[in-house]
Amino acid sequence: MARASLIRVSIYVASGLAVLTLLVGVLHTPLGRPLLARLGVGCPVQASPEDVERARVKSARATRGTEASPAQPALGFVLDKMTEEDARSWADREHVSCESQRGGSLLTCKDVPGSALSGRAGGPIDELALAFSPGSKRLVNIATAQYGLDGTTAAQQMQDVVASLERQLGKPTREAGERSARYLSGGPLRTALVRYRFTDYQADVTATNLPGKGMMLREHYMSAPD
Amino acid sequence: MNKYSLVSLLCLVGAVSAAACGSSNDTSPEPTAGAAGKGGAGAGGSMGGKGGSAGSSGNGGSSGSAGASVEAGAGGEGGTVAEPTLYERLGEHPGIRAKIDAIVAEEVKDPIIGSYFSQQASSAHKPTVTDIKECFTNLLGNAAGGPELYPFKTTSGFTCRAMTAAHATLGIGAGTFDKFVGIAATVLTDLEVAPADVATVGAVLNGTKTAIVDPNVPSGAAACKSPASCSVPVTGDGGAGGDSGTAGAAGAQ
Repeated sequence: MARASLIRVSIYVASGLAVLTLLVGVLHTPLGRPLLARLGVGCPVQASPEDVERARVKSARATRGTEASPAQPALGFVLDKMTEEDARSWADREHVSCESQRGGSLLTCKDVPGSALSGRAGGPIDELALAFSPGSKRLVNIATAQYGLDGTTAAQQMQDVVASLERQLGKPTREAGERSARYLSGGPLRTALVRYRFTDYQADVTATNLPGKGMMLREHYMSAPD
Repeated sequence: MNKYSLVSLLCLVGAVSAAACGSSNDTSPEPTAGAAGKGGAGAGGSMGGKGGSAGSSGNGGSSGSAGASVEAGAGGEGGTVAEPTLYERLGEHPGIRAKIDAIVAEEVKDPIIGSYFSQQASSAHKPTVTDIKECFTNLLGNAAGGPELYPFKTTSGFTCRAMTAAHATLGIGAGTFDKFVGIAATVLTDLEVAPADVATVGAVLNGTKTAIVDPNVPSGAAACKSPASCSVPVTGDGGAGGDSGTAGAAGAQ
């Protein structure tokens, strides 16, 4: 008798949990989120690929330059043309470890040798992120990061990358800080920056002294659509 | 078990599930970052005026009080004019807000970091991007010695949350956090903020690291490639929040 009661209770609890799980799931769909917002409950999940791309495009439009780019260097990739499948083929060919995220709109790769990035000056990179527009399914955004560099290496590699960009794009739109080991090593968060802003393309190269972690060299290339 | 107990149990389970969906506005301030808002000069930043003790440490959040213990001080008769405070050098509230706007604009462009902000593009989501900018502005203003309060309620009625509550469910790894700080430093440098002041602001941000970073998320890449350079002093006089973990790429989230 007691066993039967226990089984009955277990069924009720399991059913209740299933219903609640379904309800919570519905609340996280685009249909349910406005209700969550009205209830004042923050939704913790990350943005959808469409949200991410919308925010990127909005920011790009607000910071664009006034002339069209003479070229769009992007580590050997082709912005607004390459697909995620193309990127995966590249990763297989170059024996690079990558992981697909955000429903295939983001590919993150680690420990990418310089030889796998045609046209890039500088050494291997720790992290490469390739983002694809959920609409066109084409590559629109690239970011790399190298960590733990010493000042001399960071300055030299940055100089190499900038020299390559200058050959293709001309003088930068903006420069700040100094591309030297002495400057970068001079204190926490010392940063050297080179920036290009065109109507259709943006590029940034930065070296930053991360306290206790050496220099971070970051490159960022992206399409800046109308 | 009778049916009333069963109903109570189901209600309890439902309440726990709803709470697990996300944190609500948590107004309880956390242990302060102890940043410039408390009179701290932080990482080598020159405060001007009377100056203060050293800067950020602790578990993030920020003081709920106006931390204006670094007064510029007026020069007396025959005295010198005091240097502007960090708050003044950053342009006070409007200047800080402009810098926050620029920082957010660059952060959302990063393929990985952008995903942590982009949901705010939806007006159905709380906090909105405007709320976040207002919260961030007040956090920094407070830390820089201004009259801003933190936590506080934004113009839309959203109550800015303590750092842990605001980031608890986002799964932010150390590498992502470091990159965020790096991008912020880049923007401030671009806006011609003095390197010492960039370092001070960075110390404020790094003071929130332990509250924001999820230790269960892999921080990514290998250890520092150059140990000598990785021992760059974090601050001038005091403890900034930068930790001594490994250099890390954010990698997969």
